[in-house]
Amino acid sequence: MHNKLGWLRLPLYGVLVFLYLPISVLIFMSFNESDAPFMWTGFSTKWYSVLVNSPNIMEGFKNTLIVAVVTTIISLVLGTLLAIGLARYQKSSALEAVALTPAIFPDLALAIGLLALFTSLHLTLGLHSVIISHALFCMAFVTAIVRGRLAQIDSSLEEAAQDLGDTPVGTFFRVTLPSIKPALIAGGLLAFTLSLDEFVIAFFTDGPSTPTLPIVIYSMVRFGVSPEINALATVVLLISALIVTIAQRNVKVQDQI
Amino acid sequence: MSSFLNIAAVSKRYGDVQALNNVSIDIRENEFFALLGPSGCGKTTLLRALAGLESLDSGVVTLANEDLLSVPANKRPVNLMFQSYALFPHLNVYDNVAYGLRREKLDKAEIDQRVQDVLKTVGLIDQKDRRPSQLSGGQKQRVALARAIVKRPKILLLDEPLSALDKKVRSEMQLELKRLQHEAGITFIIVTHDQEEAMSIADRIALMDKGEVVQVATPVEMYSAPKTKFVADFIGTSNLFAGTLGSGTITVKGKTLPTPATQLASGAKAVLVVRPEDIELGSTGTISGTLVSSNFYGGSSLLFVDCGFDQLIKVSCALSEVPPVGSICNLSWNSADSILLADA
Repeated sequence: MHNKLGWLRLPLYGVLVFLYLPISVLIFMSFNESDAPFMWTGFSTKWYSVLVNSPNIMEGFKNTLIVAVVTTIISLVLGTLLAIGLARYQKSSALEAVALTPAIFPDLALAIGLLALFTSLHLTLGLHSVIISHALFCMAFVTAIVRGRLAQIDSSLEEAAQDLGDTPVGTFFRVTLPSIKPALIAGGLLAFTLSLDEFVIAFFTDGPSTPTLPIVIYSMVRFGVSPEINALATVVLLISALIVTIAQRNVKVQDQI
Repeated sequence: MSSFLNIAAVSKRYGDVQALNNVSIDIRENEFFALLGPSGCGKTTLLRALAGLESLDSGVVTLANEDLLSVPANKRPVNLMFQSYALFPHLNVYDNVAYGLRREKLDKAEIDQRVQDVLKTVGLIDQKDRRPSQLSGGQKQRVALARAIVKRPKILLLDEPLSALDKKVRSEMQLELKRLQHEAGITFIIVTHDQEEAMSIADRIALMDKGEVVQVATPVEMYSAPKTKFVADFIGTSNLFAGTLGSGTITVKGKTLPTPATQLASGAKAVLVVRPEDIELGSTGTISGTLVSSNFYGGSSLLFVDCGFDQLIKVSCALSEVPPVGSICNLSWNSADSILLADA
């Protein structure tokens, strides 16, 4: 296998370099001592302390975490219920298509539409409006993942639980939820990471006093790239990578059961 | 004998399909009862209705003189063993079996005692910590069985319980099911499309076709005295000759065959049923034809003889007496062994 590929391995390395070189540069430069963002002068972690001591960034970070966590919870609950409903009572595939549309809808169109809706409802903009908007499209991802899992599991499991004397509610918590647990973990983590770095929709639907982290970064970069951006990006990258790793491990372990 | 489970005039319709049409069956206590029929005959619908997983359009079902249909599935003293086994993949064998008892809110010691007992009965006590995915097909089947009988239901329903097993394991499990039924003293109702299985396992069989019960009888009765052509054809192997009755004879494709004593009028359409084991090879015969092929079944062989009828005539024959393929066979039988049925 290894030998046969020969020079065909070159494109693979090319892609890997293309993917990871910018990220490596970013991480590398986040430890740069210099004020000039792209000139190496020596090792330092001072940009990380600048980060921690910057009220703007910490505020943005806090807002983003609030949005991501609440979005994850809402989209998990609604997305799961929607997926179960679709699996059980679906009469036409159009319904499924409609349910999954927000996942593929252009962010910009979604963002403008939501802004128009919120304005016409005279809703004040803030984290709550970002959460509603994020939950809207994250829910579609959760639905898709849970729906896929439901299609795999034996539909007579729930009947078996009822037959053994369980109530419908008990069956849901003791049989249905455990069987779709891997999908819930994967869907939840996906929703979390999607919300974490979402910019376009948040930019349109957020209020001015509660910027999320991507908005904070955007406003900082507009006046030139300062080195703490590198440190910030590194932190965000680490969080995302960590979450994806956890997600994959969980799904793998659960699938073997 | 008094009826234990009384199914009276139940019907169920799915769109254009009449799944159950006015089905009435009486099932006795401690009976091993089989619902037999080709796929789509309504037997599984009936079983699921008894379990409470399917609603019926009309009809009454009583268990020990109490209405069963108004009781929701999770409160019925009836348990179903699913065709797919439906074991909970996230629970180990022990927890799968204990699931139903825990829902009854029994105390822990009793649950543990009963689960241990039933796992010993089905021989899976050493596998109690395994997940279903770590078990073989036969083991999964035993877990499903244990999970259902540990509840001590009044009736155990089994939906094609052996269809996923290979032939050797299947016959072992047939014996095991009979033993369990005997030990547990539970009424078993099994759904199967395999007539051999139903014949070997059940005390009585209800043969169903197109949503209706065709005949309810013991396996021996069903084999020796089929009520209709469908029963004669479905149960066991048989030769069917459809023709017009004369006096003491039936004319089939220009040939005249002897018939047993009958109430049917001369000139009526009828079917003569002759079982392969009742036919003898000889030097002279009622009919004769060319041997087309012979299938070997261990102790005996089944011969296929072309006598000029619509289908080949099946004759069972001792292994030592199988003539070479292509030779002329003379076939005869005692007309009293054959069965004459009206042809609809």
